[in-house]
Amino acid sequence: MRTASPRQGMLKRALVVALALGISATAAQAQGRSTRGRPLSVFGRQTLNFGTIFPGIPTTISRTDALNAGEFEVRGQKDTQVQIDLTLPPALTFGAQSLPLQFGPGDGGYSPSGTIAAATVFDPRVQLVTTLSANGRLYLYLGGTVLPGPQQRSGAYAATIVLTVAYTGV
Amino acid sequence: MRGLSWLRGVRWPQVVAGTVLLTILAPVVMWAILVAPQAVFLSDRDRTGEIYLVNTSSKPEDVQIDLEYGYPATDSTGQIGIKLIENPDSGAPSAASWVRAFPRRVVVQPGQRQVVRLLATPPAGLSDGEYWSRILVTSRGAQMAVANPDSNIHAGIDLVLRTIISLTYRKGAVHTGVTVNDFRVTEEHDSLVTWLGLTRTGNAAYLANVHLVVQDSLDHARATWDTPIAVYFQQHRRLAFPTDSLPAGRYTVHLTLSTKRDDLPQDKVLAVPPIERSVGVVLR
Repeated sequence: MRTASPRQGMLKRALVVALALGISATAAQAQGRSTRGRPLSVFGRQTLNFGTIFPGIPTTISRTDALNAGEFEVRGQKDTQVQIDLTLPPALTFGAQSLPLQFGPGDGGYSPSGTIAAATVFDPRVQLVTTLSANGRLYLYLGGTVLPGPQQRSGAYAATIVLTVAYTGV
Repeated sequence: MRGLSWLRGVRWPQVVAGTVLLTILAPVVMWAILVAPQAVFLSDRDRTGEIYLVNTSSKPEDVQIDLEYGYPATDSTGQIGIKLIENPDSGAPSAASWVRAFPRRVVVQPGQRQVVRLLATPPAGLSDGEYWSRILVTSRGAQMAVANPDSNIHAGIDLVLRTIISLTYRKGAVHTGVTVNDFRVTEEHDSLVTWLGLTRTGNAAYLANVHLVVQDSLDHARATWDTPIAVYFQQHRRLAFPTDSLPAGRYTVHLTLSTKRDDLPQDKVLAVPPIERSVGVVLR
């Protein structure tokens, strides 16, 4: 079987996304007129990583933890207001078993520049409305805490986080 | 598939810049779906439309398309948000139940693009005016492990990404406008807070741009801000801007509401004359 080299894969992805940047013009053309509007897109860059979890020992990941915090990127029209909603699960589940997951008011961070340490704090449980940067970017960071019980059963626990983005001006 | 004819619309300087940018970013992008355009306009003369999905990640994305009635609305604090209404009243100008997407669910392979076609089949006897929906594009990537595999307790979090764009259907004669009920500017901590009370007139959404200019006592512009707005019914909007570049003193804030939008096809924006207001404020 022929496999692409990492460099080939990288170039392929780059080309596809670069072509996607022309899609807004294409889509507008389909509707009969060109536009300078830039489509909204959201990227998951890094998952929230709790590392090794032991029964009875809570594990907290800070939103400023560059290696383990969840990291997302929103791209769109520069200087334009967007709405961000995170739907956060109260627990991870494994069959009937539950592993509590907690998010607090200081667990979210956002930055137009992508500087995690300088990100502005927000409560990820509450809707965030903010403005994309002058180059149309916004970076989001997410921390949280898992609270395994002393008798927490081993298993592959799972949960879903939903990240919703929308322009507010259309 | 429309062949390669769509490539004619591509803006190559952006493509080249994007290629360089994404070559740098590609190794760290894990999940991504791009949805274009940001707003779809249909009418009784053109009942079909298209949106494009592009999977820019390295994993297949399971994408679902839903339509739900909704529009931007403000809450009691003046914050704007998209209000989604699953079961709107029968009198609501909702197009959600009679605009269909094809396909509604699709797996988009890495590096692939997918066209989703939209078809409006409005009920007979529909009154002139605008009918609205939001298109919810929900993509699910592969599950990611978040715990060390050596642990007995493994935790995995699925990330679902949802992008919401607008859909407008216009029937017959449509017209719009807005009445400014309130325009106040106050200083709050390190921000200049503008309150805007807006009520839409006519039978179509008012899509406009808010342009604010802060002038000092010598009539020199010291700061400007722009933000797109959409008034579907009425809004009491709070807009906050940083004042770090403004020394203490007396200023005049000039407001211009204009239907000239840079981010939307101009022929889809209902044009009305601009509205101008001014108000004084003292920064301490």
